[in-house]
Amino acid sequence: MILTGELIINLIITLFRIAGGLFLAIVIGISLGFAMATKPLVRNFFDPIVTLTYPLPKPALVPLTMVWLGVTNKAAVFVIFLGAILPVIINTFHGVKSVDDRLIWAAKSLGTPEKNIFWKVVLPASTPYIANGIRIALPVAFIVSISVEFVASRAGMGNLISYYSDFGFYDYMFAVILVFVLVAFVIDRVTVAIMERYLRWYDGK
Amino acid sequence: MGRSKISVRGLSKVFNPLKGNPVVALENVNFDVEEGEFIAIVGPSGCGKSTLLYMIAGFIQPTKGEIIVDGRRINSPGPDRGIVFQEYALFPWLTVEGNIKYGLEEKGLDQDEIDEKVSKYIRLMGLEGFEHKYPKELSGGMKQRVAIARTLAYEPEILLMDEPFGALDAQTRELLQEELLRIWEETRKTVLFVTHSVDEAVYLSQRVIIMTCRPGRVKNTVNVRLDKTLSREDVITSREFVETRHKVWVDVREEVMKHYCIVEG
Amino acid sequence: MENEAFSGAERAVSLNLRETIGSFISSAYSILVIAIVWELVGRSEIVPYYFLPPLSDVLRSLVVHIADGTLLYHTGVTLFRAMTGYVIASFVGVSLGLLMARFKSANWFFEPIVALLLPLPPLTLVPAFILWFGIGHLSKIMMVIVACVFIITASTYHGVKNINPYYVWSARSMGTSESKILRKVVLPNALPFIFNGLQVTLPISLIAAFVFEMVSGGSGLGSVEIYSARFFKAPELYSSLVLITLVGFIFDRIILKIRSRILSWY
Ligand SMILES: Nc1ncnc2c1ncn2[C@@H]1O[C@H](COP(=O)(O)OP(=O)(O)OP(=O)(O)O)[C@@H](O)[C@H]1O
Ligand SMILES: [Mg+2]
Repeated sequence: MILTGELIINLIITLFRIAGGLFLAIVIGISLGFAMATKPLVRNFFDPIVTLTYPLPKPALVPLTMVWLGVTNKAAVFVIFLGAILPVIINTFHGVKSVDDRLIWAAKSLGTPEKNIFWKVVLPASTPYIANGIRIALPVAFIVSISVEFVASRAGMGNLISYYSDFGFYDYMFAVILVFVLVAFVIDRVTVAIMERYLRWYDGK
Repeated sequence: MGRSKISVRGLSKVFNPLKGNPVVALENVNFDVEEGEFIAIVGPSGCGKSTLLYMIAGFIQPTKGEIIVDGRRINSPGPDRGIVFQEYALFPWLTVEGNIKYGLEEKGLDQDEIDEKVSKYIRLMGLEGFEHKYPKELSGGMKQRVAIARTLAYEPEILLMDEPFGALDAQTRELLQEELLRIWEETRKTVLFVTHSVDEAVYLSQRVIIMTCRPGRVKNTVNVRLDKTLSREDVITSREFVETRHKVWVDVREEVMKHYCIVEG
Repeated sequence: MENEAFSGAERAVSLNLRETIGSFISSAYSILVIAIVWELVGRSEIVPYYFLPPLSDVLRSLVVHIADGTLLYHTGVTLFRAMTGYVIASFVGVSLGLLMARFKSANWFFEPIVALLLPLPPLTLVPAFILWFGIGHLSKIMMVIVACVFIITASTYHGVKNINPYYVWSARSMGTSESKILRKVVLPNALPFIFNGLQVTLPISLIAAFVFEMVSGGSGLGSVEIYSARFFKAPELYSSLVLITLVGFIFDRIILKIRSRILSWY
């Protein structure tokens, strides 16, 4: 009983952190990826930063955000955000870059004004790429969240796992691990199913 | 003669002028098109036919020269000029119906009008039963029909068609040629029709513009005087047709041979 | 684009290498700007020292600790764990994948296991691995193996299964023996897929070792970094971060080099 109550609370905390970090990463990542693909100035500025931070193992940012923001929810969300944003940026960038000029032309000659081209053509045309970026970002968010909760958190699934392990409740520990793994699995499946549903039109080339 | 509908003057296009290997696609192209005229453009592959249409559509800018439509120099796409692309350029995320609807919604027509037009062009192009399919689920010929329907439904005054029947089988191609002629007779739109087929050019158009191999220039213009009231059978066996076809063919062949000479060094 | 490799690494490279180098001067200024702002903010007292020490202090700490051998030692430890696990995972993963693709019984036995373990976020098992394998090298190496092996298995299996049967038939009809078909036809065709698996898992091996070190402490870059953070030793924190990034960067380049060398025909 104690286990269930604690489990649910901590699961919710972890999921909220992941959702928050992912949400920020998606919104800001898409905007930035789009800006980089269309504005050389923005691109020139961020390109080297992306290059340099790409190979960084994202959990290595955990101690840094711990120093900056303490052992807080904010720190957890922030580090998940940092971990998840790069794949979103990179894939959005490539998605926008690969939009066929002729689709934009077709829309223009069918009466779409320049200012609507982004919403009407560029965004829908690059959704398969963006979706792919989000799919890559998802496991990263899980890994980073577990890392931050192991070492710099007073709540969440990772915290619960190490708590039970520290005090020798190994059966509880494995129960929590199992639940978390199952939840991660279900979330991944659901995400894939949603994407496949909405990207039915995409022919994968 | 009154003012031309389209007037192409001294048009040249060079790709990559500043980078390593400039490509002169078109060089000093001149011609006029009257309102309601059906023009066919033929020429060897790579001579700049698509480029020419893209410039008239306003998608890309000429390096030199100008294009006047209805007395105004154009430099951007406009609702007066509709285009059917060589490789369809359908919106892959929209269904057949969604693609045909697209321009009508952009035009701000009301729903009844949109529905009516959509079903009309779906019928006309033989797309019944495919309304809710996505482009990836269609054959090349089907996609091409959707692309034609999308542009026709928008009802532009000028139709720019870039090898619109290229992906079709021979039978469908003939059917759609006749359909296009019927629509043209009915609406008297100005049509610029690019094709590789000399037969198609002569059968459809009032005037065939033959282009040289790259850099594309106007090599010759051949007027076509066929009795369009006759059946297809009678037209293509008429002396007029055979003679005109031969004239065009000789010119085209000369350019294609030249092209091969260049390619083979 | 053709080979469908949506692997992030490849994308990052095409985003960067091909296009950046040409305009390096015009774009690298952002690094310079960040470096200068970092140094200035660090020098001013706007933010506490432990928050953001001046860049120069970080670089000095980096040089000092490399020179006295401590950072090199810990980097070596992390690398040893990641690489040992990675190499083992590669052998096991590729063999298992081939086995599963070739023998129905192997597939019957291993398929459910792989399907279950593949999506598992392995790092949740860190405390369990400490319990089972202690806090020395072994537990980290095991974690690296678990984190990598199933991805490699799955991509190998996928690569072998995806082979165009036409190739096999034509090889057979030319009298190639079965074992030769495996070596001459099946393997080369599966290679790009296997490489995708190897490429994706290389950074994962580093992450697995690193996170484990953060949690368990002891030696390795991960524990250096977390200790520096806990004791507010900012220059050390930042310099270990720089070092781990560098290691990740080198890993990335190495696998791309190998890939382009071996798969040049692809
Ligand atoms: N964006 C571009 N950049 C550089 N060169 C281009 C570009 N677009 C077209 N070209 C070149 O310009 C020439 C004309 O191309 P275009 O597509 O207009 O030929 P085309 O007559 O339509 O050929 P086809 O009959 O094969 O469709 C070709 O040599 C082509 O390679
Ligand atoms: Mg063309």
